[in-house]
Amino acid sequence: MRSQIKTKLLEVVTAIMPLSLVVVILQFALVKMPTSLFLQFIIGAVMVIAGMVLFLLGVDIGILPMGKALGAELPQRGSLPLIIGIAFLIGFAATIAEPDVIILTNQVDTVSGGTIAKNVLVYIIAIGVAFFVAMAMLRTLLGFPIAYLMAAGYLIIIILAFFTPAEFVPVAFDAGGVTTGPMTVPIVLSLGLGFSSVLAGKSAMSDGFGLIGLASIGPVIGVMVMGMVLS
Amino acid sequence: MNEITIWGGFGNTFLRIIESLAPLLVLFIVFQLTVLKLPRSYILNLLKGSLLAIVGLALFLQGVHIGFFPAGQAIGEVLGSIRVQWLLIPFGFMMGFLATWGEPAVRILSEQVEEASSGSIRKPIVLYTIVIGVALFIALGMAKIVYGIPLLWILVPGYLLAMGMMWFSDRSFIAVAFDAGGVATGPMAVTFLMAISVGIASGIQGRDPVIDGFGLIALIALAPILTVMVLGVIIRTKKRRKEEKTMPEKSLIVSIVRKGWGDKILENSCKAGAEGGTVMFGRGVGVHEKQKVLGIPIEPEKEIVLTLTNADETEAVLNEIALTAELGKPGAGIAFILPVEKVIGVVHRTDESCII
Repeated sequence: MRSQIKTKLLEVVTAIMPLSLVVVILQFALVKMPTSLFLQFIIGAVMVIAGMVLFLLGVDIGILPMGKALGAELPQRGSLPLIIGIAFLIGFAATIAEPDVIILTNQVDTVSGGTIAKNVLVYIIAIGVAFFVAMAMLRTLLGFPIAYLMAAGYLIIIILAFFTPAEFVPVAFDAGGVTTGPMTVPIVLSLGLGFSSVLAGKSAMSDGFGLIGLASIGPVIGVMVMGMVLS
Repeated sequence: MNEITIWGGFGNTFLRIIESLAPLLVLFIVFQLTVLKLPRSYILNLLKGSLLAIVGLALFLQGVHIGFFPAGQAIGEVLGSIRVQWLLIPFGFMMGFLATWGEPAVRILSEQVEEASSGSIRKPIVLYTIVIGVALFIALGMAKIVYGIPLLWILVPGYLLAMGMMWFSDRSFIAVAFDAGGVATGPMAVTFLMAISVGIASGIQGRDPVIDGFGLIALIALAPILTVMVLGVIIRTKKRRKEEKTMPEKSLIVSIVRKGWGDKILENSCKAGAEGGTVMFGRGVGVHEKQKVLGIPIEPEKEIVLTLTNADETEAVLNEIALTAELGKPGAGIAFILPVEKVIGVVHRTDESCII
């Protein structure tokens, strides 16, 4: 445990230090923020390092094994609606609470002057994610090549992009990106890896991944459709 | 002078994280109580880990919120009024690189790829591929803001390119590539990079922060898809080249025959071109010989012959074995061929076959 903390601490410091140093250099050379704000940045950087060490450690010993155990148990229940239902539930709940989604909707709210309702946006993104996480589990089970699903999804997006009002296009694509934040990633990732590991003829490497990628398609389509309906 | 805020909104963040983890926790506990029944100490460890993750993530997000977000805004404002605007492009590359370098989810994915591939795709390779991809596209995003390039002009060709590359990439890399697109857009990117780019967009005349500032996340999501796909193409061509190099392939013929036939097979397979063979003893039973004595099943003794052959000789040797052991007859035995990945210890001094 102690050596684990040590390696994680080393990794996190090398991860966060370069960016923090650049900000510090910029501060003195160019930006010159007020001292209180700069102090706040230093405290924030320390919190980021401490938080990331705890988070990565917790993900390793808590969340990943839990998600994998749950994912591995699902096929043994043998019920398709149960598998889809649980995938949908986990995708939906994780997205609604995802901090990044909240940040995005707040920013959209302030910049667009409230024309895009905050709550509606959150639910549309969450339903989009949940639907595609369930689809992704189904594709792992049926052995359907992910290339076709991705190609179809992105073709729909590209076609829709030309009919969506211009101010919704960037928001739609951003919505796809933000859904998969730091908490959703380990949860959804481990669910898929555990799920594929117990299925005969499937390997975690080629069938266990892809849940997060597919989950990013849903909200893009959802927000684009919302934009078309609203205008 | 402004007040320093450190814990503002912390409770709210904390609750949201618990909320996002709750369904997994509840489902897991239900499964644990009904079917899984894992040992108590193991469960205790998992719960401890989850608690650590919740506290850690809350701290991390709070730090980003109070530290990196306002710093990003301040940097963006200053840079928006910069005179030599093309400088923003290399600056974007650097910031994209560093911010993604500090993104926790990127590290989690890279580690899981190493684990799932049993170590054949190492963590730093995935990490660097994602980070460099994002850096390139943040630079492109800066060019977009400076020169007013429409977002779709980058996104549509980008996604079309990604779809095209799917057919040339190593199959198992496709899913990882699209996942990488999702993980790269974590809190560092969304708060810090977004704050910089919105600041720059509002500083440059004729740019609308909604249309030009946003859309950055879409670029970050597209970038690793393309670079990981390129990695997949490289690995696939490497694999192919390796396969060509290790020709001729070897196969292993496993023959299970009645006791006493092993030596005869060894002799005849050598005549058919095999370079040697190994005889082992075993016991087993087939459908044609299920016999019982006083209710106790008999498992007749068998001999197992392992013969390593070059791919072009396999067919001839197998035919010879089938003839010798009369495998066509019921109950005589079986023989099958397995592909061999690697052989060490076969050194040829002459081109001759084995001599018995």
